Order: sequence, then C-alpha cells, then structure tokens
Amino acid sequence: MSAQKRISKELAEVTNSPPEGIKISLVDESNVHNWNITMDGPEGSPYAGGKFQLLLVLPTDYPFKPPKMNFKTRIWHPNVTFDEHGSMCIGILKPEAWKPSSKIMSVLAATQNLLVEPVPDDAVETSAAEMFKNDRPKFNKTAAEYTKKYAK
Amino acid sequence: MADHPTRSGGGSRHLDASGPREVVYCHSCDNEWYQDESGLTCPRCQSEITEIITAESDPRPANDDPQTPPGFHSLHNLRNHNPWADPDFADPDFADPDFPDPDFPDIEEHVTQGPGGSVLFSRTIRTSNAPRGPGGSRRRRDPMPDEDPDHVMRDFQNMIGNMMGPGFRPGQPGRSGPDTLFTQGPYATGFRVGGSNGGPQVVGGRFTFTTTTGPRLRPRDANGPQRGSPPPIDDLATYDSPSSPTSPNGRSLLVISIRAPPDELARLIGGILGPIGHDGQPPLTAPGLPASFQALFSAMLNPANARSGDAVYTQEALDQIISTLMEQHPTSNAPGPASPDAIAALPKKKLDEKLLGPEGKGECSVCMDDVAIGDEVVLLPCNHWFHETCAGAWLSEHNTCPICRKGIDGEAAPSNSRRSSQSAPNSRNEYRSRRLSAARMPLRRADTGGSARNQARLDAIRGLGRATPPEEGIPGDTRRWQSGGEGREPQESDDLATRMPGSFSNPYRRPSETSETRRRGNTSASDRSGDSRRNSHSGGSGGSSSGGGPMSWLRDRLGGSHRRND
Repeated sequence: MSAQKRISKELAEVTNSPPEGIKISLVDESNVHNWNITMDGPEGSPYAGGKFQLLLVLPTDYPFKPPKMNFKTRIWHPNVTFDEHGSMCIGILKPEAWKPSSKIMSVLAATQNLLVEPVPDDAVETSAAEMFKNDRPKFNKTAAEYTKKYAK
Repeated sequence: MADHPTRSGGGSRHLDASGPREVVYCHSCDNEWYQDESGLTCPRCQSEITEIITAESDPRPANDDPQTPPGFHSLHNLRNHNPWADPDFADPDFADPDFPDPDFPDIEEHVTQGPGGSVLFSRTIRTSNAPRGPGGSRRRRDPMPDEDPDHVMRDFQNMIGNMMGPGFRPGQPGRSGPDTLFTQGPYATGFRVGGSNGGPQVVGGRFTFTTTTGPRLRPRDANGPQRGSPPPIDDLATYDSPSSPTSPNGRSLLVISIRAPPDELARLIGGILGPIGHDGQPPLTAPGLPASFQALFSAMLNPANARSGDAVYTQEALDQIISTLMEQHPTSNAPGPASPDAIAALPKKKLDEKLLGPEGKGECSVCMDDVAIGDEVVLLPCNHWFHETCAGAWLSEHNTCPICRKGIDGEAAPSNSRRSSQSAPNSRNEYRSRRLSAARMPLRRADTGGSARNQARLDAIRGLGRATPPEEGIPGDTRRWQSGGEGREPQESDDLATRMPGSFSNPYRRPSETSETRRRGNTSASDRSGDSRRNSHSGGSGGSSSGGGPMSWLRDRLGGSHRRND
C-alpha cells in the first residue's frame, strides 16, 4: 500500500529529525497509522511547561484524506474542545484545505503554532474563544492553570 | 370543586401503547390502531405517514397522555380555577361547579410541549349570546359598549398565532407533533371570532399561558389547593412566580393569567410587547409583567426558535439548519473531482533536469517515492508533476493540484481566496448568499404541495451533501467550473444536481429537466464562448470572490441566470 509506504517514510523522517519539543511513538508498533505525540507547550504561550499528549490517526487512504489529530491532554484553547475528545480545529487538516503534499511534519508545526496563536474566529471551544478575545490576561491565567493541572 | 368531565382523565381515548401490542399512530388523521390488526398504513385515510408509538416517542396530543399523573386532570379545569380569588374579578362562571360541558366553541386550550417543558395557551372568549348564565357575559359586555372587541381579539389572536406559530417550542428542537408538521396549526384557522358574519359579538375574554419546565411536565392541578398565599391582583396581568407555588410533584410552574375587557387587553399586549426591542434591559416599560414572561415572548419571537423538530417556519431557522449541515459535512466544501477525461488528457512526460527544479530532488510529493530522471510523470498545468497514478487518485476526488491546489482546467488558482473565505464562513456575503439562495429553494417546487416541498428540500440537501461547489464569485462576475474543464453557464431550469460539479447522476431529476438539459446541449457552444468572455474579463476579481458554500453556489445559479434573462 502506498499509504503505508509514505507513512513509514514520514515516520522515519520525523523520528530522525524531530521538530523541537515533539516526541513521536507508535501506539502499536505493528500499525503505522496511529501515532502518539508528546508536545511541549511552546515557550511564550500559556502552555509553556506543559507536556501535551496527542493522538494522530492517519487514514488508510492517506495522503488523499487528511489525518486526524486529537489532544489526549486537556487543554484550554479556543480551537480544541475542552472535553475528553480534545478535537482540534486546524486549517491544514480541514478536508477542504488538505492537500496530499502536506506532511505530518507541517501538521505538527501548525499545531505548535496554533498553541502560540489561537484562531478565535475558527473556534470550537467558544467560551475559551470569548475569553481569549475579551479578557486575554484571564485567558492566559486559565490556560496556564489547566496546563499545570493536566499537562504534566 | 366538583370533578368535571374530562377529555383525558381516564386515558381511554388512546390505545395503550405500553402494552405488548404495538400501537400505530397516523399523523394525517390522528387515527390510531394496533399494528397487528391493520399494519402500518392508516386504515382510515390510507396515509403512510404513521408512526409506531413508543414510550419515548408518543406523537399523540400530550394532554391526552394516559400517563397523566394523578391529580393532574383536565386542562379545561384551569378555566374554572381562579387562584387569586379576587373579588373584583370573581365571576360566577368561574366558580360555578355546574358549569356545563367544556366543549364550548368559545373555549380553547392548546398545549405545546417540548422535551424541556410545555406552554399551555388557553383562551376563553365570551360572546354576547353565549349559552350560559347571564352573569358572566353581562359583566364583560357593559363597560365597553363602543369598543370594537372583534378587532382587539383578532389582533391578539394574530399575535399569538404569529408568535407561537404552528407548534411553537421555545428553543427545544424535538420531534414534530401532528399539529405542527402536517397542518397549519390551530392558531391560523381555529379561532372563531363572531360578529362579522352575524355571529355573536366578542365581548370579553381571558388568556392564560402556563409554561412549565422540566421533563414530562403536566399542567398543574387546577382543582387542588394552591400553595403559598395568593398574591393580590394589582394589575390585570399577574403571575405566580416560579418559586412560590410549585406543582404537586415539585416542578416549578409559571402561570400567567390575563383577564380583561378587550380594550385593557390591548393595553396589556402593548405592555408585553413593548420591551422586546430592548434586549437585556430590565422590563421598565411593563412594570406589571414579570421578566420571565417577557423572556418567554422574546423566545417566541426569536427566529432561532422558529423550528419544531424537523420542520422550520422561518427563513432564518432554515438557514441555521443548512449552516449546521454544512458544518457537519465539511467535505462538501472541498473542491469536486476533475473529470476522467480531463485527467486522461494531462500530458505525460519523461522526467528531465528541468522539471526537477533547483533542488534537483526527484520525489513525487503524493507518495513521497523517489523519481528518477527518465521516469514518466504526469504534468499538471501548474507545472507540478506526479506519478500518474498518484495524481489520478487525487484528481478523481479533488480537482486541485496536490501541491498548489490549482485546478487542472487551467483557471485561476483558488488556493488563497478559497482558504480565506473558509476561515470566515460567516462573512456577510456568505450569509447573504445563503439567505438569498435558501429563499428561492423552496419556491422551486412550491406548487407540488407540502410533502413534496419537504421532499424537494431533502433533495436539495442530499444534492448539497454530495455536490461540491467550485470556487465561485459574486453572481454574474466570476464563473468557474471544475467539472468538465470548461466554463458553463447553466439555466435556471437546468437540474440543480446535475449541474453541481461532483454530483452523481441525479435520481430526482424530473422529466422536463432532462429534456431541458438535452436542449441545452445543442446550444452549449455559444454558451461557452459567452462564458469564456466572461471569465477572461473577470479573472482578476477571482480573489475577491465570496465564500464557496453550496448555498452561494445555488444562489449563483438561480440568481445569475435570473439576471441573465432580464
């Protein structure tokens, strides 16, 4: 399968030269479609100091369909649902914006960037988005508190 | 108080759906029968709009529910119940235990029930020749001999009808009931105002709203004692605050009772409706009315609530549902596939140094496999190359370059405008376009009647689900078609779905549309030339195009061709 081949290549690439603050492992060594990702909260964001677990699922028809990425660690962020699903809304993974030449590496970079710069207009967690827009200090404080609480 | 004959007391009017036999209910004629006797088709009216009743889903009128808890008797008893016992308003009629059968035409009660509560609207109209004792009517008739009570009552009736609509449920998307889905509802037709055609004159009346909250609520026990001390009537409109009197099972009730001669009713209505324009402000303009009542009216008037389960009553509510559908199926926003012909027509080349670019690296960016010089690749108009199978697999789903997202039909790359429009899907243009297009949609087949209209709506949504609108611009400005690699200007009479890029052959097509399409085939050459002219002169404005939702696409089709015919 071409999907597995490409995924393996990307896995090798990310493993060999991982982006800063990101660790990758497979959920199950025999299955390259499910990745565990540990992402450090980027410096300069209220998530700094936290370690966030994410699950990356690559569909069988990857790269023709975008991967899915979810936060396993709770995070107070406008674009991530604050629940057990941790569904993330990020432009690069939207079906209408996805293109096969997008790589997992760029998805990870985009995710890190999303932590630094939330996109409140494209929010899935509206209460966080409102707070982000209207009361930034409170948002930063809340996000940092939840980071301390959950993202260890 | 004596027990009055009730409609629902024993529950004998309905078949027992909780037993082992399945009870089927007909939404068209309210008939019900056992399924093992008559099957699923209504034996009375042959309708197939029927439903097997379960404990969770009972479409039958709620006030006839046999599970009405003890103590909760007929709603009709409410009319006899005056919880405040104000001597000024004490009316012999209301206290008379021998009041005759409640099937008077001048008494109406409607209960609208949603999963989260219910609204009871009861109305008592007194007429000058009502067949009852002279006590009640005399009292109401005398003070206002020169008013036009008909007018006032009709106004109030219209207001209630408009606000509550057929089957109003405040913010409760639930199931549709028989009164809401298949009929106009009682408010539009059921109200009988005499006078104009020689009938009795309306001389007074009483309106009661009872809102209840909580699951499976019943109207309160009108015969039972009211807990808490009855507040004195300072104003014509009074209510029981939700906290003081509670129903026997502990749920809170809000009862609003308006009893007034017609002219004072009108004044009250003015007071009720006054504050609605000022959202969030304290109800200064209607001191006699509780804020919760005003909130109730606001909720009624909120277009977002003009929906009832799977039916909507306003354009805004329809828009909202369409938007939700679009959000739930984001793939429908993705570009549609390129046609097999266009894919097959892509030039194939042997990879050479020139194509490798400055990096000198040969890799198909779809499969990430290395490609050596001399290997055959397929070249897209944007000069990006791929393995033929890799490009074909992608293009057969989305007509965009896997790298730069430019379409293979050689038109302007949608990449930037597309993404920006999607990151702000609620931009004004997008919203406007949805509104406009949605407004036209139901009109298309409005002549085919109610259920057919529903079908048309479903068809449209089905079509939207699988269709994928291309990047498009303001109607009449930019036309961009990705399906056939050619610009094509559709006619309004053309079938919607067949014109949607990415749609399958349309099973809902009507015969007339088929012939229409065929006719168009003969003239397409001239159309095309017209389009290419249009495209060329508007190519630069592609970036400013509004969002490419299916609705704006529809709007474009219908609106654009309409203008063209001007």
